[in-house]
Amino acid sequence: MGSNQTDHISSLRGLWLITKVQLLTSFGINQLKYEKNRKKRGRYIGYLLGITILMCTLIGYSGTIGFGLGFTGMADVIPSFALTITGIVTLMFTMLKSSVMLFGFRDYDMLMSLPVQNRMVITSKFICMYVINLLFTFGIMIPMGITYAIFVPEFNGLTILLWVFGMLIGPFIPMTIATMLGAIIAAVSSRFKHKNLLSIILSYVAIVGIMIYTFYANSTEKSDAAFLADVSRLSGNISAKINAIYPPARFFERSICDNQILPMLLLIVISIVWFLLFINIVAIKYNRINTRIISQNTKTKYRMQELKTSSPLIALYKKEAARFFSSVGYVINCGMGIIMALILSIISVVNGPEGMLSMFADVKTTGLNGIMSGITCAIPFFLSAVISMTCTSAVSLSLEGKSLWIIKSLPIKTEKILQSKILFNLSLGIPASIICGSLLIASFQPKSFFEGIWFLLTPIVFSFFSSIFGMLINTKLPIYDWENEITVIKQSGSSMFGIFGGMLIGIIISFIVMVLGFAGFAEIAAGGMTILVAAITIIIYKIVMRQAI
Amino acid sequence: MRDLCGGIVMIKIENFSKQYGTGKKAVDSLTLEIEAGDIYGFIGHNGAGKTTTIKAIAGVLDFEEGKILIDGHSIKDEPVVCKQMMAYIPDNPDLYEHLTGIQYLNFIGDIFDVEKKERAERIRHYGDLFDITDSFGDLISSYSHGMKQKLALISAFIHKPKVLLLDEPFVGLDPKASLDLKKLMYEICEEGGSIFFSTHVLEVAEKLCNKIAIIKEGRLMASGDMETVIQKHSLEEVFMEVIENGQ
Repeated sequence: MGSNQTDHISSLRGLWLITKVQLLTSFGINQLKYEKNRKKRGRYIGYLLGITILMCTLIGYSGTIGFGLGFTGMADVIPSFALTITGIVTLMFTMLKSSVMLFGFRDYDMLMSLPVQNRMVITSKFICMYVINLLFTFGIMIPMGITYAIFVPEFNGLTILLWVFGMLIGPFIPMTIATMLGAIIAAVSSRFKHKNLLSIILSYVAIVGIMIYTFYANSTEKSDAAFLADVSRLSGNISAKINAIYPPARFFERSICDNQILPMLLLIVISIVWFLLFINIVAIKYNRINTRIISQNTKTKYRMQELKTSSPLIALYKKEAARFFSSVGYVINCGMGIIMALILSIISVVNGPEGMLSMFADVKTTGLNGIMSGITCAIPFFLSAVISMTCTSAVSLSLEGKSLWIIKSLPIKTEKILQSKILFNLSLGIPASIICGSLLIASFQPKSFFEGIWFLLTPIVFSFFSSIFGMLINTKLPIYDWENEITVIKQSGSSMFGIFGGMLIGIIISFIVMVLGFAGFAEIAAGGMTILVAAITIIIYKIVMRQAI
Repeated sequence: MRDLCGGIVMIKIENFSKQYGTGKKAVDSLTLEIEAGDIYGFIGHNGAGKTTTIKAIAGVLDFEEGKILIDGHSIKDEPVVCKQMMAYIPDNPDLYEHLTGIQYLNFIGDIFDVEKKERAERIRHYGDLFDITDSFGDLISSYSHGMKQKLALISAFIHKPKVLLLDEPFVGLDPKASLDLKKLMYEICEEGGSIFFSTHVLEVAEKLCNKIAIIKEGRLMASGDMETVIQKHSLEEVFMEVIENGQ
């Protein structure tokens, strides 16, 4: 056996070994398998439950869309639609994750000291993200594949095989693009003194850019279309736009619709070549980028200045704020709710209420006149749902991690620690509620004072709700023994329940209010629901204040 | 609270036991008294139960069996009162890496409500003593292990604790810092404070401590005045004898 071949085998073995450890750590498999402590096991079961709920929602959403398309005679659109949604989800998810998964991670020193090539370390990190993205891909593409099979008589064994290959290879290209963007952002930011701040700004610019691009791709050709034709064109448009970003994606469409193997083979080859190219490019500068990210700027000689004293609660609050703004992953993931709320509100002011609503329904064909009152009263809840996604309290306790001993050994009551975390979440949510609420008042121009007041009160009440609810979830499902903070921020049970729980509740209530609004009870419904949420929040707060950490 | 000999008991541990999950007990019926002025060494092999005991005294670790009193107050029933009197430093001080050194010290000063002028004086004094003042403006994440250890020690000293709980305090410290720490430990005891610390460095324990406790597999094997425990032997000989033969 030649030495090159031996090297190759040993590097593949190295890749397998480090990937195995990464997967065991990322998914908490070992804790589930070996943890004897019931409480800790419960936390991981909570995490799995969170994933299951998320997957069920995704499957339900994808299945419904697939069925809708098939039922209206547009089954041919399903493959491109499935791939498009998968592409967007993968692109966004990887953008949010790659900056912390691939660069400046906690076990960098340990991994880089092992006799494994840089390429293998990058690949192992990539595989971890791939496995997570694969879960989303399955959640989208399996139900859509099933609906496609139901509505297309030509669907056969070969189509199943091609669809499976498409699912497996589907996330590769958007993942590589997102990771490449993440790598560029990390490389550029690492050259500057305020690298975290720059990284946060660049990441938001990239993510918001993708969102705005998707929005305008959706909305450009809607005005003169009939509803059904518009859905068809909408899907085609997104698919075409995605294809324009990475042309090989259209091979999937051809392969499925024409039952051809060759386009799929081409897709697989292009994906693998593109991936290998990416790995090799990043590997060249990998050490340098990481060293720059990890290394700290040290100031020259500190001179004692006058110290500013604060109360314990404010001291804890300041600590929370410093923690939040010090982490790129934390800001990008948990700040996304208020950024999205701001974008939606600005779009609403610039393009009018119809401009914002057209992101979710074809309002130009259905018209708003008859239902405006119902929609107007539901909007504050929808805004609340979006702002609720900024739920720092759902992860802030877990983020204490190995430093937990500090707050546990300090002479302060647990209540105060939890209050400081809630307070910090509120200091993000309340200003966002006031700004976005005011923008939406200007856009929707509510008819009465009482219709308008909910634009401000409802999101504020909801900010309290999501902050306190998030805190409750985190006291029940804390994870302190993490290696990478992104496992807490994105992959923990508490982040899923906290971030998506509040959002889901907000959306459900907005639908209830909308339905009641159509029946003529808009203001009563909005007021009643806001008061109900406030009452529930008070009850949860009392429960939270009794929790131990 | 005074013991039978009239000394003020600062830490009283009564039948303390701790069990993790359903496994065997990490600490089994431990009873100890640490008086004001004591420098009490706590030694044992890895996994003997030293850290568990120290964490339980510090109020960091919950426990079900036994009682731990700090200056007569129960750590379970009055944790805030107890913690106000104590400072705890773990074996591996994972501090808030996103804060600068001075921000961390100021944070601790705020929590313990240390008066502004005193706070600044103490920070300057201990900072200079441990030769770390120049780095106070840097993020803790840029600190070496030894610097983090020094910062953790300063954070403990700035609020003048009556009880100091240290888990392996000399690990990572340079020789000068070790010497300074020993001097500070003596100072605290002279002022009526108590120190309870774990160590694997038996020579240090023998020279520094007036009292010693040896723990093996969660059970207290020997404790009391250093002279009484070691008699004519060295601490190392006694420790090995206790660990190997249980006597």
